[in-house]
Amino acid sequence: MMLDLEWLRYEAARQGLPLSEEDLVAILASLQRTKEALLRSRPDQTEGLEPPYPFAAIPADRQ
Amino acid sequence: MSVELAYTPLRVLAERIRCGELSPVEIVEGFLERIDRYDARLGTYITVCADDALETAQAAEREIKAGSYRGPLHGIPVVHKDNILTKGVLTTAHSKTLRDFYPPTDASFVARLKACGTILMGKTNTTEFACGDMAEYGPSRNPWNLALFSGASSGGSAGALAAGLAVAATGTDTGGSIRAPASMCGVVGVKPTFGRVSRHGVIPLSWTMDHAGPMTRTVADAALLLAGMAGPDALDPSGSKRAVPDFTEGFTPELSGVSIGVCQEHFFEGLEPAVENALHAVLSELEGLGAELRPLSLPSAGELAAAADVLVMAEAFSQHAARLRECAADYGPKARRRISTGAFYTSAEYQQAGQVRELWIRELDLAMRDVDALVTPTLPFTAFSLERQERGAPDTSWATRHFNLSGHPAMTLPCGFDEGGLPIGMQVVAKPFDESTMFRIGHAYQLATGWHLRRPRPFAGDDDA
Repeated sequence: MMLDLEWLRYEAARQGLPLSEEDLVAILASLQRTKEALLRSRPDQTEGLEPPYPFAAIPADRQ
Repeated sequence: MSVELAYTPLRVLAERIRCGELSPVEIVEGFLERIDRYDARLGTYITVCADDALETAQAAEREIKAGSYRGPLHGIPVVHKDNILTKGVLTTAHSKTLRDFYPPTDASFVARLKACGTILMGKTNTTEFACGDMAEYGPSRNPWNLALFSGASSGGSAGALAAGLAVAATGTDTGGSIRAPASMCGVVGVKPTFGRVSRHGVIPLSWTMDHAGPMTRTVADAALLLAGMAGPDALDPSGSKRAVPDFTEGFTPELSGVSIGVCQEHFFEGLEPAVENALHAVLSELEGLGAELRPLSLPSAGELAAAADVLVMAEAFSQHAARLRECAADYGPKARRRISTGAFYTSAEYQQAGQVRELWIRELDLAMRDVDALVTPTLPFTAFSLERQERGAPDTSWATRHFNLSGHPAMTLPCGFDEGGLPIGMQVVAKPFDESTMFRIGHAYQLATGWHLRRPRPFAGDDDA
């Protein structure tokens, strides 16, 4: 998924959210920070409900 | 009301009420007088229930005189954060969208406290929906320095306690919203175990992370207030059915036999020097009281912020979606933008955040297997300016979101002051449903130290400057 202003504008409209351009710029900055950090904190093990083998590490060039 | 009475602990007031030495009316009148005198400068209250509080106090006085004393909360005035429903009393969550909201019912724990005989004295200031600005009713200022913020989001409750404008308060905590302001204002704030206190009637931010808890000036008072708030509630399906113990039963002046874990990773990194010095002094003090300190490792402790944010905002958006579609402009910019981020996370990201949480709980449970509690700083810094809060506050959930994610009980209490005279807080974390150990540690610490007895000068003497 490409996370940029254009997608946010489209998605906000699709969900019927009357957000201003200023709102969307602020939201984009927050989403980029959080989504990147969540990706970095992706665990290398499962929590127990899935098959008990570790996730493969994501190659650095694809992170 | 004398300053001494304004800062008298709940436990002492309760004993004086019980033996007829002090009237609830005198206490309520005294606090109302102080609120009238000081709160315009502080902004800790959104609503003061003067007439109703006096009427309830008179009824309590009659009841006690007639021999129907209900227990240590009878005749005690309590204030609730303004995102907690109070029957017939304006409940705004500091939002324009709720400017005319007079709830038809009380939150379950408010009703419990009323049944214990408490007197609703008012509703305290908060950030909009516990995550936004304070534009609609103004900011709540820190009694230790009025240019500083009292903390988010239960800052009104914390400030009112510190300034002697209340003796007992409640707050809500989704990532640290009881503990951070309590630390910044030098009072005690408790986030109980998830499920210990019903959330029915708390305006939700995040149903998996929200907690409600007591705020007071002493640990012993917090234990009493929590006992009044806690217990099973058929209206809250996430609530625990466990019986509520007497949290003060194990109180001792020393801590022999108690083992305390100290995690250097994350929790002792990047602290302001005054906070670091205070926490090292805390550890020595606890050891001196007989506790055994044990190092432990929590390698994920610094990696939880993103997962917590995804969970909270996705859940918050699900609560607010319809209202945001109808009247987004009525929300302040900060709440509107923060809550709206929840519209743009994918279900996979929500699940991934849940997985981070699950693994963190496992790591924490394992690390705490051989200790009774953990001690950490509550914040790596002391109170900051209102201007900084508006511009973009530092991370006030830095040491606290961990235990919203896991559900463990956690409490902050004052443990020192920085060179500018601002309070520093320590956090005590116990195993699920073992609030008694958490309170025991905090109470022994307060018996041995005097940090909780310091008062912000303009509100504790004749200095009205």
